Amino acid sequence: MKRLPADFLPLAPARRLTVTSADGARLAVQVHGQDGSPTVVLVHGWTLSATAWARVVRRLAPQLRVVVVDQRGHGRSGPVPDGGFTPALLADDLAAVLAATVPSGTRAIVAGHSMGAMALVAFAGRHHDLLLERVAGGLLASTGIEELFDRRAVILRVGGRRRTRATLDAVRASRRVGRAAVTRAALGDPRLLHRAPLPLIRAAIVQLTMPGTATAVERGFCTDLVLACPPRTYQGFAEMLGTLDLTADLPRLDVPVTVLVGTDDRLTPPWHARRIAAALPRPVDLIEVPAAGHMTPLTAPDEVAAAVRGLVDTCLDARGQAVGSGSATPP
Amino acid sequence: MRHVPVIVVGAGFAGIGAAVTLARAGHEVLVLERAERVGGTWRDNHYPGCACDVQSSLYSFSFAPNPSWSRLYSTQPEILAYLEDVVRRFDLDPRIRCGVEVTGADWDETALVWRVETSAGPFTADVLIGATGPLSRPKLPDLPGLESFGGLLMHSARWRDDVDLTGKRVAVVGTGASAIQIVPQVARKAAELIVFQRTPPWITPRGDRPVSQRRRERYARHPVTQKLARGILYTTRELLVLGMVHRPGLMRAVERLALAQLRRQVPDPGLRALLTPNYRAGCKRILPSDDYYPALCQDNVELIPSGVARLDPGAVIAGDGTRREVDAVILATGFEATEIALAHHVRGRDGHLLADVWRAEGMQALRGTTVHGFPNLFLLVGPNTGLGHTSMIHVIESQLAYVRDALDTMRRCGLAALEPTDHAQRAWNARLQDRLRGSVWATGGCASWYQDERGRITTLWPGTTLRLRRATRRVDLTEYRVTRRPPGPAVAAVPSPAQVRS
Repeated sequence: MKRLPADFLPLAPARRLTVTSADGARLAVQVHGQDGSPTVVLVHGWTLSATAWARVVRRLAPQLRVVVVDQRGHGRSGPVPDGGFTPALLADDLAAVLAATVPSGTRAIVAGHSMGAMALVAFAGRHHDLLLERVAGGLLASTGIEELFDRRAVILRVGGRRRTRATLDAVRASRRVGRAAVTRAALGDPRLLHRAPLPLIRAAIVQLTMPGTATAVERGFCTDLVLACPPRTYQGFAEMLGTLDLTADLPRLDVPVTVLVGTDDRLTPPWHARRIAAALPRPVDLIEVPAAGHMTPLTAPDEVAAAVRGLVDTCLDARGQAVGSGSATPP
Repeated sequence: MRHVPVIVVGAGFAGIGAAVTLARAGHEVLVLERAERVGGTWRDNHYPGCACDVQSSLYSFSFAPNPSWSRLYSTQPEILAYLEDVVRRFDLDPRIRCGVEVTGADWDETALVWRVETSAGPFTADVLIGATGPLSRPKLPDLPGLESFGGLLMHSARWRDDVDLTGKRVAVVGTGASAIQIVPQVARKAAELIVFQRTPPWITPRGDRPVSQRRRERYARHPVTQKLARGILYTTRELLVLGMVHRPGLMRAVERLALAQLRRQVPDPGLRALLTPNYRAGCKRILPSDDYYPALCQDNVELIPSGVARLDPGAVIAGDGTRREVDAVILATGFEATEIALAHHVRGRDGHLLADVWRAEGMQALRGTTVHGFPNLFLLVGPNTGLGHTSMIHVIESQLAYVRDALDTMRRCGLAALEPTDHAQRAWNARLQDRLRGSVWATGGCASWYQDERGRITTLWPGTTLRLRRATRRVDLTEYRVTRRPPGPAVAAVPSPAQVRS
């Protein structure tokens, strides 16, 4: 009889559609809210699905037109074709979704979480014209674009006591190479997610993605989402993330962008967010959510929704037209 | 005017069972069936996937075992074929008239007979047996725009076999017993299937499988082995009553079983949350299914967690405002289960319609069978005889023993009429309602078709089926007002049903 609190329940979208990407992958897309309102596009992270945005959608949908995507291989989208686990294809997916859901003549705010944010950066590099045509602003939540496995800040528990971050920093340099290799092997192996004893898997997922303050409901919801990910998708993107480097694409993301990160993020620690914010052509804000982990749309929906709303307010007028047309064009 | 000693209305499981039981006891029976063939619920419901929720070895007459059930849970065509086979086996054809609809039945207090109006002319009968069942009248939701929808619109019990749903956008309204059988079938064909859910049902593993040829042969050669299987099924199912009636907390065990299956079959926590019931298992009917949840996870299937508010031309609009354009709407909205169809046609001693008598306080009877003010009327699957846990056939056979004993007693003692006293009926229902008070149906925290519009549970039997069997073993004449047959020639020149038929 224990049922999730209403806040976590996904709303029925106003419309569902299937978008076909450049390489033929089928993407399931939901549209919430009313046509004619400013559009927000939400792109989830690795091993998650549109369901991960449920709490954010509840906060945005009444006033905004919210488009939620299932990334390739995730949720209700089709399986990933062979060789389909590349940032370029994630960028193509986002391009196809924007072309299909953002009415021409209007521009949208694109909010990406983790791998969804990486898709936005890659999209800026690969489809720069479409970026300027359809995107008025972006949110990069809990993400990184390089050295993803090397910078992972695992909090080790020794004798039940948490080591301080300072101690960890000292050890880090010497251990980085070895740990990256271990992480790569472990995260890239679907056995970790699907063959190990369930309580162990759950503990590992919670340890990696959730802050110590997460409620049992949040922990359960998060681990369920991750466990729903097909092993093939899990492994394919793990390999992609291990070698990902989008530093060349970041300068081309020349629309107003807010960066958001949880201070307790162990998967993409604030180091990434600060680097990105520093390198962005048009940074709006760097929001560090105190005591939040990696799953910010799940555990910090108020802050994420507020960041999206802030971008809508600064970048779009009431009809979804970009404010000060042309201002997004690079000098 | 033709006189028949016993008229049975309806040729479903109850009507056919009545014909067999009473004919064996030497009573002249005529069964009137409004449709062109027998079968009742199992004739009317022929939607794809239609099957029984109770294992067939249990969901069959004790006096007519069928060793050749092909599956543990038989599908509708097989159950219908079984009923037709029973008709053949017991040579009931001369006792059943199909295509005859009963349009009215009035008790004649002077002649002490039922005057039965039918589409085939008037009859008189000493005894009238209502076997129309609670699941015969489809319940159609009173939705605005139902007429203007324009597309295909059908109730699950009025399935149109000529319609092909391949490639169509289809809405299913409801998530009850019919819906969860329809959804997996339609999901295979439809381009889009949208399921509108007001309240999620508890769904337990069904574990359906074919019965092996070897086992069927063994059942045929040694009927006692099938009896044994039947006994085991009966006993395990009967255990559920403990939880349902006496200790609703015990239903948590069932919930754990159901939640484990939900977790296994629905990976997405969002969809899973929408499918998790928030009331005690058993409060609404527990539905066994292995393929409902997987169907909902298909790409072309969508669950809308809201009831339907109205229809527009070509679209369904949910209570939460969600709008879906569809080509066809399937109303899996169940039946008028808190009413008995016959009640709208039967007038008792005072000329009151049974439906009107019941309108005041909800339907009620003595021992689920007889009603004060309506002499010589016996209702099969009458008020408070329904079950949430096992086979209705057991109940029907219990009631038939009661009816048979009543008829035997009347014949033996020369009684013309039996009518339960108001006192006996009230006392019986007070006891029933008292026992229902603590049951999961009253305390489980849900609304269900077990309750009438006043929230009174008038459909279910609160106890084991053995208890009902004991309660209906013999007619207790102290509960009845009896009228002796007036002196004079006994029933003269009664045509046999065979003659009536010709």
